[in-house]
Amino acid sequence: MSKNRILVIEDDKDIADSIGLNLELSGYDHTIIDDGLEAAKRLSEDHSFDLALLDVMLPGLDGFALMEHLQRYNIPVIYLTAKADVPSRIKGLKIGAEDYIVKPFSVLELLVRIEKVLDRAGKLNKVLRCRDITIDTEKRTVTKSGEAVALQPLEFDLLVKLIKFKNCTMSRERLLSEIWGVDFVGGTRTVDTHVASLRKKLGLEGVIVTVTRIGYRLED
Amino acid sequence: MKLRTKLTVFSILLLAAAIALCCAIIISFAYQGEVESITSAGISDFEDLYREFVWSSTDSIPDSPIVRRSYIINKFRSLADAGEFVLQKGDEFWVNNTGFDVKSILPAGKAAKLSESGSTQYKLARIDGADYFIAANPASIAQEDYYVSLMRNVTPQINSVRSLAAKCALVGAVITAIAAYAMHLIVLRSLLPIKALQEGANQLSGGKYAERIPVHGHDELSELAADFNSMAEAIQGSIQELNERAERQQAFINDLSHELKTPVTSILLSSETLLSRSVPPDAAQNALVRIYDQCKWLEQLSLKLMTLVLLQGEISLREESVAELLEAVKESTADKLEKQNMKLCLNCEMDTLPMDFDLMRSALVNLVENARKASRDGQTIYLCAKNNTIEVRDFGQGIPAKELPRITEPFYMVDKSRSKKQGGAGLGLAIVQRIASAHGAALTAESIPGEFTAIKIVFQAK
Repeated sequence: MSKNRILVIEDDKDIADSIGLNLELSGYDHTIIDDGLEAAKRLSEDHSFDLALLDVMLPGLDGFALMEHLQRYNIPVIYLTAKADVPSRIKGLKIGAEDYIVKPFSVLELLVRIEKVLDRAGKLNKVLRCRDITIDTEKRTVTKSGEAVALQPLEFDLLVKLIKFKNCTMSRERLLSEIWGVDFVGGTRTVDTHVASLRKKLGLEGVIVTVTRIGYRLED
Repeated sequence: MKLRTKLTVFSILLLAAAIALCCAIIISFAYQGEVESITSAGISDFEDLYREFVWSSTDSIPDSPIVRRSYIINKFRSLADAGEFVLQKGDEFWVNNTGFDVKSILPAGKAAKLSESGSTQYKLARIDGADYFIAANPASIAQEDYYVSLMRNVTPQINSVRSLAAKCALVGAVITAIAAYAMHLIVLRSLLPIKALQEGANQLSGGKYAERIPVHGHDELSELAADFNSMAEAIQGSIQELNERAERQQAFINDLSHELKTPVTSILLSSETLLSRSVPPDAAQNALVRIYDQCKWLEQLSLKLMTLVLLQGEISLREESVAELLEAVKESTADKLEKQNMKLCLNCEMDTLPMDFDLMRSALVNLVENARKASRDGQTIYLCAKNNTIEVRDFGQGIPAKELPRITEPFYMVDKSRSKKQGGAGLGLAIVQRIASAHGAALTAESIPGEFTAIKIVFQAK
C-alpha cells in the first residue's frame, strides 16, 4: 500500500516547508500550494489526497471557501490557522473540518491529529513498513524479510508506536503512558526491557536508537 | 418647594394682593363719595333748619318761661317734623325723637363753617349696629343757649358701600381662584420642556447619547433644549471618537498578535523539528535559516513598532531647508538604488519647512524604498518638493484602486508574500503617516496599476 498523500495549502513558505519536512520524515507524501485559487484549480485535476491541511487566510480563495472543493472529493480537512477566535473555530468545524488547529502549534501534536483523522476516515495504512519489516496492524502480524516474527502484544504496540512516529524522539514516559496506560505502576525500566527485546527479535540495534536521558527514536 | 409650586403660589399671592388693593381703592372711593353726599345733604338740611329756626325765633318771644318754652318747641316742631332733629336747652332735652344724647356723642366732630352763626360740628358714627350722621350747632335765642342737632340714620347708604365691598371680595376671590387655576395650567405647560430636559439629562447620564429633546417654539426653555441637544451632540461625538480610537487600538493589537503568530509558528515548528526529530543535515540547515530569518524579521518588526509608539508623543519642529532634506534622502538611498541601476531624480522648489529633520528624512527614505521595491531595475524615481507638497513618484507596478485607502493601515500589505520576501512588516506607510500627521501634514496616494504610484506628503499652507 502506498504512502498517504497530504495536501498542504499554506501561503507562508517557511511554515509550509517546515510542515512538509515533518510530513516527509513521518513517511507521508505531501504537496504544497500557496494560493487558494490555485488549490481549487489543482484539485479539479488531481484529487487523490487522503487529507488536507488548510490555512484560512489565503490569497485568492480563503480556506472556508475552499472547503467545498475539498468536500467534493471527500478529502478530510484540518484547519491550520492563526484565526483563534471562537466564531471562526465553530465555523471551520461546522462547515465540515475534521479538526481545527490554531497557530502556533506543536508539530508532534499535528502528527497525532493527522493520524487520528486518517484513522477515522479509514485512510490509515493498515500495513506499515520499515526497512525489511512489514507490520499488519489489523492482523497484528510482523514479518521480517518475509518471515513471521512472534512478538508479545506490548512489544507489538511499542513497535507500531515507534514506526508511526519514526524519526521522532519518544520519551519513556510518553511511551509508558500511551502503551501501558497511565495506571501502570511499573517504572520506565519496563520500556527499556521491551525495547531491548524488540531490538533483539527484529535486529533493530542501530535503528531504534537510545536518546540519552530522554527515550528512543526509530530512525528510517 | 418645586419651581412650579413656587411660581404658582407667588403669582397667585401677587394677583390676590393686586385684586385686594384694587377693591380697597374702589371701595374707599365709593365710601368717600357716599360720605360726601351724606355729609353735604345732612349739613345743608341741618343748616336750613337751623337758620329758619333761629330766624323765626328771634322775634316775638314770649316772656313767660313756660309759654316761651312751648312757643319754641312748637316753632321747632313745625320746622323739623322729621324725627331726626334734637333741641336741647342746656342739658335738658326739649325735642328728641332719636333717643340719643347727641351732645355727648359729638364732643369732637368735624366743624364746617357754612353759616354765619357759628360753626356746625358733624360726624359719622356707628351706634348700636346702625350708622348715623350727626350734626350740631349751639344757638342763642333771647340770650338763652340752645343746642340744635341732627341725627340721621344713614345705615342704608353705608350698607350699600358694605355690600359693594362684599361683592368686590366675592368677585375678587372668584377671579383669584380662576386665575390661580389658569396660572397653574400655564406654569405646568411652560415648564413641560424642563421635564423633557430632565428626561434628556437622565438618558444622557444613562449612556444613551443618541437621544435628543424635541424642541418646540422659541422661548428660553426651547433655546436651552436646543443648547442641551448640541451639548449631547458634542458628547456623542467625543464618545464616538473615544470608541473609535479604542477600536483602532484594539484592531492594532489584534493585527499585531495575528502578525506575530506566523513567525512564532514558523520558529516553533522548525525548532521543534530540530529538537525532536532526526533531520537530514541539509534540511536541518534550512530549518536553522528559517529560524534565523524569522528572528530577524521579528527584530525589524519590534524596531518599527517602537518607532510607531514613540511617534505618539509630541515632536519639536524647526525651520529646516527642504533642499538639504532631499539631498539627505538621496544619500541614504543611493547604495540600494545603485545596485538595481536605478536613479533618484530631485526637484526642489520649496525653501524651508518647520520639521523634525531626522523623522522627515526617515519618512521619505521609507517612501523611496517602497518606490524602489515597486520599480523594475533601471527605472527612475522622482522626489519633488513644490506647492507645500513633497511627492515620491515611481513608474513601477502601481497599487490597485481598491487597495489604495488601506495602504496606511498597520500590517496591511498589498502583496503579502512579495513584501515579506523583501522584509516588509506592513508598517512602513503607517509610520510615514504618523510622521506626516505629527507635522500637521496629510499623506495622500495616487496610483494607476502598471503605470505609476505617487505618494504625497501635503503640508498645510503657511
